[in-house]
Amino acid sequence: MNNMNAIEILLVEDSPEDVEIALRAFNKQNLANKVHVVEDGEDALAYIFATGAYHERNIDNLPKVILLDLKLPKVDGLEVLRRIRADKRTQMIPVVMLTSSQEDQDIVESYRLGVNSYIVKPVDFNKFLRTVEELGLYWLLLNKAPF
Amino acid sequence: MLSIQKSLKSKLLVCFLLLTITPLCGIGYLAYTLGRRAIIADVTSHLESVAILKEQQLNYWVEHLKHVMSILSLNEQVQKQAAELTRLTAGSSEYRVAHDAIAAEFSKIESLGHFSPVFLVNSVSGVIVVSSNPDWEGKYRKAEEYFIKGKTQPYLSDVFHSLSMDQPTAVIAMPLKDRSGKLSGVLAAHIDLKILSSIMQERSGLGRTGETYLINKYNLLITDTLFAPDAAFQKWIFSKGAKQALAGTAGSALFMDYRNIPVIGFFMKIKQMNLALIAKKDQSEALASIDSLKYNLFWIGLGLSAIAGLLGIVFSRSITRPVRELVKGAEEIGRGNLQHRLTLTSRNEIGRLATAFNEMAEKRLQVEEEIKKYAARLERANKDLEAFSYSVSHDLRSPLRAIAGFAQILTEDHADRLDQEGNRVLSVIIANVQKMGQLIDDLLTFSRLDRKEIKTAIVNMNKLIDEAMGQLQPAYKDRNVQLHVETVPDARVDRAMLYEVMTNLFSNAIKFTRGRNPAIIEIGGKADGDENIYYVKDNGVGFNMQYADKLFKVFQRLHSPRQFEGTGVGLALVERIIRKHGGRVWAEGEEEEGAVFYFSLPGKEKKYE
Repeated sequence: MNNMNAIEILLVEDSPEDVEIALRAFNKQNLANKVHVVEDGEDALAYIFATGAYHERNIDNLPKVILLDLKLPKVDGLEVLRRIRADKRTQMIPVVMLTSSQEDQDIVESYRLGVNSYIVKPVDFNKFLRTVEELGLYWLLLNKAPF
Repeated sequence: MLSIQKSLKSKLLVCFLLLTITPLCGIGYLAYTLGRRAIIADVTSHLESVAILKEQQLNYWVEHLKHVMSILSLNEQVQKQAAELTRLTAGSSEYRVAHDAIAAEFSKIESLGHFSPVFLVNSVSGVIVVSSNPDWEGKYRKAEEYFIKGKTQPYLSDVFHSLSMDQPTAVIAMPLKDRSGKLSGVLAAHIDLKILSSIMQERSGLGRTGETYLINKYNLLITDTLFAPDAAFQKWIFSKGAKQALAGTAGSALFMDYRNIPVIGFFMKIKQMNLALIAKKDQSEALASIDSLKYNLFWIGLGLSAIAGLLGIVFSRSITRPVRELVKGAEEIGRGNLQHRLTLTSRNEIGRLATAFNEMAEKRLQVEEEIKKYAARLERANKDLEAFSYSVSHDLRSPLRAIAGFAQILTEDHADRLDQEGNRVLSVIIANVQKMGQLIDDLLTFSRLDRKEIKTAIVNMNKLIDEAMGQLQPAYKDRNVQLHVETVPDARVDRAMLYEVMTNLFSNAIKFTRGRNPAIIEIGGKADGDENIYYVKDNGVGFNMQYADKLFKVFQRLHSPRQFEGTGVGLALVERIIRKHGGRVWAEGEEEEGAVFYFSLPGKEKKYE
């Protein structure tokens, strides 16, 4: 959190329990210090576009992946996604929806707005853990980003 | 709409025309035939009286001729001199005197104009001894019928064509006797027949085409006629009237005359002269008045028909216009414009019908509004339900995940501080949380199905079955499972949904054959009438048929979770999908003897690759 420019994963998640479990997973992969967590859509946008509380952040240091919950306080996940994709500076950032919703309409709308992946959070703790680990590994190590 | 109006209109029109034309035709026909019959009767009786008049004239004329000849035969001079002639020698001066005296008498008679010549035939030799035409004297007449018959009584010959005179004639003859009554010769005269023509051609009262003429027994015309002035003795007439008259019948008829023109004729035989008398008149003239009546009737009929037609059009319009308006309005309402009202105000049936229509539309409008209200309510309820299931999906899972997650952390990080019972309780918590998660997922899948539209296409069911089995392969790869898949008919279905059906049925079969060695699973299907029936059969634990109706109900299970895991949603899902496709599901089974799950789909004969 202190070195904001070293951040590679932005986790947007309002449930502190989920955050904790996710961080536990990243921790096992030694990625915890590369993760920044925000709790609502407004904060997420502020972080991404380096405004408000994050105005000192260098906007050019793009996170390698944004893990976005759908249902968020203030600004919801779909709106955040729309804003990311609408801005030239941020439109290339891979965004993964990590959500509890398996509703078709959410999935379809997310892909329509240009999400890179849509993952339903499993209730099973181990599965959830594995999912988050795999996500981190994939987007940070395997995926070649265009920037 | 157009056709209704048209047919109604034309029907009314036809009615009108029939109503006017039929009586008109009847009356016209009656008037015409009766009039015609009366006219024919009238003309016939007129012709008859003319014919009878002519016959009388002829008879008078013949009587007159006979009379003249009788007077001649009774002439003393003639009697005396004729007797002399039989006694004297021809050529003597006395003979000459006697001859001349008779000749003088004959000339007097001839000058009356009826006869030419008048002559005396010697009763023995048959030679003409005296004639008003001296050229005839010395001619031989012994073989003539008039000579033979005339020796005994007055005789009138038939009309014939005289070769010596080269003209038609008839001869009248009678015996000439002296004072003692001894036959001294036969007195004879050729009758000048011109008078016949003049009698016949006297046509007063016969109109333009009426005439009378005479025909002899050989059908030869012997008087001049109106339309053939010089046809006497030149023309043979075989008309119906001529034939009947010569046969001796008197009467009237309609026939074709010598010009081959239809006439009304009266015909009779004049016995005294052995002739047929025909009086006739052209039908065209006789019936001119009735024909003109006919034409007048025709034109009047035509005029009346036209008027009736016009009235019919006006009348039918006055009927069909409101009907048309009614139809138009009803159609407008039928199209769904329930605000539309018919504006017919007449108090007749049509007006009442319009009112009924308006009331009906009003009622429907009310019903539609009710329906709209219900629909809105239903939509709201649906939205609520959707929101509910959405929040179940999202909000219910989050705390579950937290419970599961933190229970897990407890076992991972703090297991050493818990005793064995504590660890067991924790694992029970974790297992139940997972089960709840599965329940929520299944329930959501199940409820989502209701809102899902089905998108059908012809699907190769064998391919679908293969894919479903392929996906489940990891679940039974360590077991001895024998699969038998028949070739099954294709169907028009939503592929993704049917895939769900097949994986559910198939995974059930795998699940409930656990412990069977070998497990035998058979999948088949065939077209049956207008539906296809598919089945999945296994040799698993089966079920009691008593509970068959519970199989497809959501959350209904026939086995404890300890025996076979599951949420009780799978078959309910299958049932719902098949029902959405218009098919049925049912099952047969027996405890420990296996089960067969059937489902039907609307058939498609067409094979599709």
